Amino acid sequence: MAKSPSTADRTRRLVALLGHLSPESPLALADLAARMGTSPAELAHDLSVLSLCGVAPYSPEQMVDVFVEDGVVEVYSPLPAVSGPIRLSPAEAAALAAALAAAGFTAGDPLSSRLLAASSAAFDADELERTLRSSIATHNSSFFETLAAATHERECVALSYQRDGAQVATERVIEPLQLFAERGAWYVSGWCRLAEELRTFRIDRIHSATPTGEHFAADAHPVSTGAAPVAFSLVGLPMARLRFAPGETFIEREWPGGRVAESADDGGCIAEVPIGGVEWIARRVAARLGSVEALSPAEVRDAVAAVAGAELSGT
Amino acid sequence: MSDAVERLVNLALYLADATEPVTAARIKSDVFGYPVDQDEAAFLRMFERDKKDLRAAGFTIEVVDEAGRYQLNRTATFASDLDLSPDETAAVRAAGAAMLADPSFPYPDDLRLALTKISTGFDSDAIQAAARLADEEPARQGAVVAMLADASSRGKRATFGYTNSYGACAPHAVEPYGLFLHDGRWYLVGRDTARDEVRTYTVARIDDVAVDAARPNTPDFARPHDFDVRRFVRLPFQYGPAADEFDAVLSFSPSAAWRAETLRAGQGAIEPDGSGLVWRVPARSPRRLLRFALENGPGIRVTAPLALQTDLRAGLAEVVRLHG
Repeated sequence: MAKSPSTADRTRRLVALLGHLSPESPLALADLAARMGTSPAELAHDLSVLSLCGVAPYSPEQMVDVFVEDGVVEVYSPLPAVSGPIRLSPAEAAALAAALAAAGFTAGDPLSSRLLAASSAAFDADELERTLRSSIATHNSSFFETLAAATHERECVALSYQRDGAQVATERVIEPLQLFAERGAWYVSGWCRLAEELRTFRIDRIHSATPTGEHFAADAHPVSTGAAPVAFSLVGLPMARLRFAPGETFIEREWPGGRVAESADDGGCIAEVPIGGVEWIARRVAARLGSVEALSPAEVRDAVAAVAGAELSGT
Repeated sequence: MSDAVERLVNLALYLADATEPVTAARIKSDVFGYPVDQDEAAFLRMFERDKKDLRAAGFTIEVVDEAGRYQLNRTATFASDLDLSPDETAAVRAAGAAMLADPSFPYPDDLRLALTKISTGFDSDAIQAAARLADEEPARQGAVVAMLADASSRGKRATFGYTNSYGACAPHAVEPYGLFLHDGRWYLVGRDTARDEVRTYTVARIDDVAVDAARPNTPDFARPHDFDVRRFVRLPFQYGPAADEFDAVLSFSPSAAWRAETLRAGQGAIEPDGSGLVWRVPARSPRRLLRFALENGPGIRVTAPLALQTDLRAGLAEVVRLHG
């Protein structure tokens, strides 16, 4: 059973709304409730409490003139004493800074600076920077902005993209559908017009991202909006069989979706690992410098030999 | 009896409307919601709680003189509307939506309120963005990080069980200094009070966290003034005994140079080298260093220490032999 919000929580919710309640902009109750993570009924109750608030002498013109009618939050006169949005509390500013940092907008980024200028004086951005690091993104934050806007506006984007293991970038146009953060990196997934299939692109491997001005239909490529989306689906991928020598531990985090198929008495094992990409798995095997052997398929064995041969010729 | 929320909002509006500083007694008589028959001590306790709650909501309430009169600092309380470009708005919405949907993000409630305050509109269009910052038990990691971050900000000690990488579990008492996220995992940095040393703990291996509940408003410890959690973020080849540390140099070919800053993760120093780059970085594990360079290649090579090149050639030759 969900915990009932405290008086302080309910107050913070109403305070967050104060700067946005005006006679000029009626708001849909359901949208507001969804935005605030509460139910329409609970929010309607709190708004009814707000309509009882005001300043002395509590005459009608000094009260908050807010009503909920037919699912719409209406305000009939300007709110008494309120002259704009309330600044972010230190906890709210810290949460926003952490979210922005996770998306690649660090403390010095102009967007972060402008947003956090709306926080209260008690918020110490330097202190937060020294005690909490939520950044996982090492991409150019302007690419994130471009792709977020293009995803929202359903606008095509021309990408210059250098895939894992490639020597050079390739040019392509994508119809961006989703942004994901997973396993320490951000990705954009979308319809790739070059490959003519749905593809996922790691944002820190993008050299340039330019909106083309062309828009695509909303239902052109349905995407999953499940509760636990992932950048990569490992379901149905072909498996590689890898032999781990004694002393080379199989760690699932290093081989996503993999599992030990056979354990040997000498401490070694044989593992089965989804082939997310032949080049990707070949590099990982080659990087173990002989302590992991790709047993099958032949395509992966050949790729491992090719990677090792190319690296050897460069030493 | 009025709703306590009504009293708090009345107090906020009253302070915002006041043209001069006001005393607590005046507030008690003017603000609807304070019980008329309440004795002064009870009123002052309630008033203290109310000020704390309003400050937590973003109000800057100041005591302006020796008479203990209060005033709302309007400049510090009200912000102007943000003028974000469409791209910036989309980026904030995408980052916000992704974090709110991620159970390993530790501050969803505060983030929700922050996004509401800065929102320039209430567009209900679905935003296709999602995140999984931590890949193991994300909800549990998010909850533990929220507890430890709160303890860290209040300077309160925490105790927990910790299972190390060898599977041994032991209790720890720690002064939590900071937290960082790296490669799909949250980490805690703090001083282990029994060992008297600053250590890094993998949050996924922490169980049964308890924060010292005694004297919640009085810190148990002070974080070192020069503490910076970013110094504790390590790359895979930087783990191991301090005595094993050596200076490594990696070269990036021109075609790989653009990735150097990404891979560096803030460690070491990068400098130009012809049309490529070199990266000087401390390392502790030669085997992991070579692995890092190969996994992130092509075009990345360990050039120092020189002895590692012999190991690399022998290892690659073995790979070719095994797969030939």
